[in-house]
Amino acid sequence: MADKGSAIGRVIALVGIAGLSATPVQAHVERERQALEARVEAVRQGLKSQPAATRSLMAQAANWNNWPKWSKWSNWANQ
Amino acid sequence: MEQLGQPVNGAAAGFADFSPALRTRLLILQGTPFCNIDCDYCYLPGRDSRERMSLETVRLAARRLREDGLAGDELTAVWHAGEPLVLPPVFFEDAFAALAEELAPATLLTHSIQTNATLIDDAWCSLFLRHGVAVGVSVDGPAHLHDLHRRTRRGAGTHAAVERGIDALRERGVPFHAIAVVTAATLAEPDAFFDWFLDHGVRELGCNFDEAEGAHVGSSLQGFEAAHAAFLERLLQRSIDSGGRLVIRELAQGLQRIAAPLPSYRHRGEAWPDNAQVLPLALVSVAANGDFSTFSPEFLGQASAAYAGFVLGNVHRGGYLQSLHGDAFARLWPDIWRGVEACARACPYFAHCGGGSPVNKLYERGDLAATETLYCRSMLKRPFEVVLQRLEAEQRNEAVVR
Repeated sequence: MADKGSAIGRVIALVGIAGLSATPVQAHVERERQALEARVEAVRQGLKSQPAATRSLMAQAANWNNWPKWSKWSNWANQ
Repeated sequence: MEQLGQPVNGAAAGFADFSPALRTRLLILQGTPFCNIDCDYCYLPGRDSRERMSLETVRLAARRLREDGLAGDELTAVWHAGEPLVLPPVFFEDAFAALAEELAPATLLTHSIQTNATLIDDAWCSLFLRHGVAVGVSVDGPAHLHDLHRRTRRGAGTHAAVERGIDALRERGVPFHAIAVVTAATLAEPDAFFDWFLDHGVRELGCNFDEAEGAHVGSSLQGFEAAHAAFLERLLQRSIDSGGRLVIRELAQGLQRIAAPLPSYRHRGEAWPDNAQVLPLALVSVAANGDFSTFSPEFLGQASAAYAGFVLGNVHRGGYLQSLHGDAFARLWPDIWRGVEACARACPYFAHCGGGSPVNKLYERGDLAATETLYCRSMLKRPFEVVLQRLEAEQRNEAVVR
């Protein structure tokens, strides 16, 4: 059987997305992004030596798979 | 069956694909649009309609997924967009059986119900336990906060009825989580809010920060962003102090996004961070009459001349993949993708988000191709930043101790 999930991409592409801007990431955004990623990377590196309270929080996040799966991807459920 | 993947108008060559292959992750089924209460912040139109999904519609909603190859190894079906429990338990017995007949054993199906809990009794608890239903209760915390907005059509508060429903769940040992709408009034009372859930046996709480969507045209949180940050900081402290007895979804997700990169997919030759709300057919919403939509589930039932009411098709007339050739999708998809690309260009948090929420872009900014929204700030950026700052502070303290 053909991979129909993959075929979706081709179907969608056929719809066409005309007029997309080729504008690159704005310079100030790129600077902010790099600064944010540097902070995130530093925290990732330091997570192994976190104090007990934060390690506990990490354990909670690891258990997040117990939450219905959709919540991992989007906060769609609404009022 | 439609010949998918074949060139249409001879234009297939050179177009990028999605990788990994797209699959439907969540099937949202509107058993009925009717709701027995009348919350003033509800986005959903048609809550007075007593229309009811037929068993044939349930079957077709699932069969189309299977026929289109969209059902992977696992799928969650959630009953939502209206109060599901105004339908009788036997409706769900029949619906669950129909879904299983169409999808099992190839697809492991999980049932989920989002309910206001006012109608939960022993019979419902038996059904939840029998089928392992993941129950989400919509409740806003203490009565004085909840009853501000979650009222009957006659204006009476519903909190007492919700508490009775929660008591029934607890007495029968039915696992459940809660989703609360947080309004400006809630921001001043983080401890009372947190304690109420802790005292009622809730272990996982999703905070839906009041959003402007559909019939609910304005958020009470506009102009309260500093208070929102303080609220999140307090919830984080309380969650840590509770030893993990109550986890806040937005903070846990922030932590996850910091701890590890989002999964990515490839489209048009480039890698993009995963976001189910911008991936076609990742989330499929089916209305009681069989109309279906994708992307943000809140689109279903909303009026829109520009996007044909966000209705891509109807399961009685055709499949999901076939609908991607239709006019509604042809209008919707390019604008949503422009929004994703705009976010990629303009937002430092893009790698941790993947393009925001289309429905919020449209209702807050009037444009699917817009970028930042109040939703972005309240649901993603600020929880992310609060958790990140907490981790940074902990690391600094650790360094000083050493």
